[in-house]
Amino acid sequence: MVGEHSRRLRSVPGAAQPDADQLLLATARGDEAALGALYDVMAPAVYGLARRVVRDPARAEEITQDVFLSVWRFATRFDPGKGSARTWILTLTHRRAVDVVRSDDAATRREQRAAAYDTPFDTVLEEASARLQGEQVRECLETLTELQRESVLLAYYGGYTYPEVSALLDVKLPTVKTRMRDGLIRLRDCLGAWR
Amino acid sequence: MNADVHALAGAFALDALPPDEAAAFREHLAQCSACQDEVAELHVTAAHLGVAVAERPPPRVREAVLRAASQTRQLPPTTRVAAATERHRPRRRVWLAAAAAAVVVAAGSAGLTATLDDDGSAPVAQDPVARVVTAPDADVEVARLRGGGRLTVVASEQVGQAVVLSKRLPPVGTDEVYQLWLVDPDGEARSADVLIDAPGAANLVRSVRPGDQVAITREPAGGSEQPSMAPLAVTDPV
Repeated sequence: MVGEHSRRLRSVPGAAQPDADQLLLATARGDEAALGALYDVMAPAVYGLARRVVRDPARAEEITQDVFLSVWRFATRFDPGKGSARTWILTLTHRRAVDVVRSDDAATRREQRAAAYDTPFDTVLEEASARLQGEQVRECLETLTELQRESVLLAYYGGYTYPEVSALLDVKLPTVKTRMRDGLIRLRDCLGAWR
Repeated sequence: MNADVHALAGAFALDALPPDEAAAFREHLAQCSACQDEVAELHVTAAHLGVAVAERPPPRVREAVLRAASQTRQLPPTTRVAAATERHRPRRRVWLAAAAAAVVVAAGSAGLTATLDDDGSAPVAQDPVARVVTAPDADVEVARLRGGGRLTVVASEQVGQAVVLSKRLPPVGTDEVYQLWLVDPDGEARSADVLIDAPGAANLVRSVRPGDQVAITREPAGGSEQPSMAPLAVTDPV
């Protein structure tokens, strides 16, 4: 059961791609069934990412709904020449999740920060790694230096800004900026990801 | 390029810039096509990280999404012009060669998309202008004129016509006009009539052949048989 589940999820990156583009184009023509099919292909990634960033499952559900409603409304503006549906949808998801995290009121934010500092950041990273279900992504993350990997993962899954990551890792601001970029570039090259 | 600004591409793709720096980077991004390409690639990479933590949401989310969609109007489509097809590259250009330095073509990055009618109204198919603009192979290009102003040219090889719109061209005296030309791959120019330079005026250019370029000059009132000056702007070949 577990094996079957993870195998299906692993197949998402490659297999979903052309379908998602086609489905989004059909969605743009007002095809609600296409939106449903697009949801089936993309919702696990959207929900999983949102949950990873905001933690709270109920907020992650809200974000998932928001994202797909935006996908429905803005589908007419999607241009496959500029990128894949998958990237478009996940970029939207991450931005929304990060907005939610950052627009939380100051008190909650302080609380979260305190909690984050109380939790050794390796726990955050270990947890993230444990949940990484894409074998290829996990392998490619191994090719990053430790600082690159930590910078990228804390920003992406933690929803932290780079000054926050700098504080968490106790490294200088310019170093974090550089590591984020270098880390992503190395990851990109490893994944051979152009779409 | 400012190396320091460029270094922000990674943090930007990870949504890790504080608001003020994100705004500054966006501004930079608008005029840095290398940065746009890099950010696009890094977004793809970041999306892999998203897919890697996929997790099935409860079934009620799907129902909620579809219910909301059925009650929500989609944004009107913009009139999209098909991405540029493979362009034919340089040939002999007798007349154009002299003017190479004058040519400033701002077509943006690959996969150019133009919004031709923002209000979303669907063009009428019988309208000759709409026929060009909605042709599946329609290709749009914006050319800036030496001395100011710009031309927007939508051309379709299939229809064999182009639509030219002008914006903010410097005014000409009463004894002059702007004239459009079609220039074939051998550099021979043939007149495509005097430009109607008015806001919203669409100039229809007929008899466009594959490889033709659209060019513009300033000519004496009434127009000329052959261009009397180097082009103020010229597009890529159709």
